[in-house]
Amino acid sequence: MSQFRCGEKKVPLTDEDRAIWDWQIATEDLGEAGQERLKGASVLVSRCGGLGSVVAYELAAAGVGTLVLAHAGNLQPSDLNRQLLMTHDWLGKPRIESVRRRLLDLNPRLNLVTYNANLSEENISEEKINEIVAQADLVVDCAPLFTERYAMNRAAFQQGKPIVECAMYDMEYQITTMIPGETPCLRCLYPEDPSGWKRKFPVFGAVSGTVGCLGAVEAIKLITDIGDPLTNRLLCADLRRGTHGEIAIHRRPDCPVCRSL
Amino acid sequence: MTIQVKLFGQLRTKTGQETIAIESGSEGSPKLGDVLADIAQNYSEAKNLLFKPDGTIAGGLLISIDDEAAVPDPDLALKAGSTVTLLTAISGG
Ligand SMILES: [Zn+2]
Repeated sequence: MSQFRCGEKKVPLTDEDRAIWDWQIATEDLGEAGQERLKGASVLVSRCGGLGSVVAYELAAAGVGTLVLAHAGNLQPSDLNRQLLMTHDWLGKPRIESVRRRLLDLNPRLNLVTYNANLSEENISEEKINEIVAQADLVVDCAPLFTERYAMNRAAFQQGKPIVECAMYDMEYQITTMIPGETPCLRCLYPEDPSGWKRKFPVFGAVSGTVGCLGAVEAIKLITDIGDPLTNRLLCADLRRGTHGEIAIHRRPDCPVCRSL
Repeated sequence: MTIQVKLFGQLRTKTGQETIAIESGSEGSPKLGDVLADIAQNYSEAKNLLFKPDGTIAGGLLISIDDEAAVPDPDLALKAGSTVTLLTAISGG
């Protein structure tokens, strides 16, 4: 069992909260205390594309109190197969505004902090990334570019915050939960980005949505201390074949990000 | 002796294979580096996902042996019946 706790802040529930989250408060090891932790929690999801849209939507549905969201650019037709917080009538408009609109439609009690930016050091300063990560208790990494993923990994590990690493490609996904000082970081797992990686790659929304739901479950578990997080293991799935597997993963003693933790 | 290699991510796309069986000679245990070199030789499009230009093992590759991540050491000796899984880093979007 992890020693890590990130759901320390509890916010009392209103009668309306109890009515909305009635069915999940019935989860035996959650109860009202767990729901108060969710309400007191803040989660950074970057970006809100095929993966992050679903992570953010599920966390908003679960009653996480604050979501910090980063997603740049205007909505394009090719986003609509997977970016489920977008709508057809929003084409050409800022994606992050659609994210805000759709999440508040579901949960108007949600506190939202939104950035029309992608969190890579090429776009915004290291200092600003640190500032954005500092607003969250934990991070769910849903970014397409490895510059963003490594920047968030560095900031989260420096600040001692867990980061759920979600990824998909074609009909496969990979997911693991990383906790500073307890598990490998992204640089331990993949010290460098893969050769020839392109922004556009094959994927179905049903695949990104599957791992997005798993990412949201990991965040909920970390906040509420339910169950066992996916730490020190990489869950890999081949949805084309309907198979899943786990790989035991380890820290690298020479990792430039986490060796001193 | 046969080593089963399972491929994921871009390695699967570039080779068109999900699994490759590599036969090694009768002399000694096959080494991890030899298995990767065999794949690179037969599937040239996958070479840069396996090796950096200087010939060392690529940093965007996760190597697992019998479901446990392995140090990317080309001299690592593989046991008979081992399954090597090669995953490439993938992302979101
Ligand atoms: Zn590390």
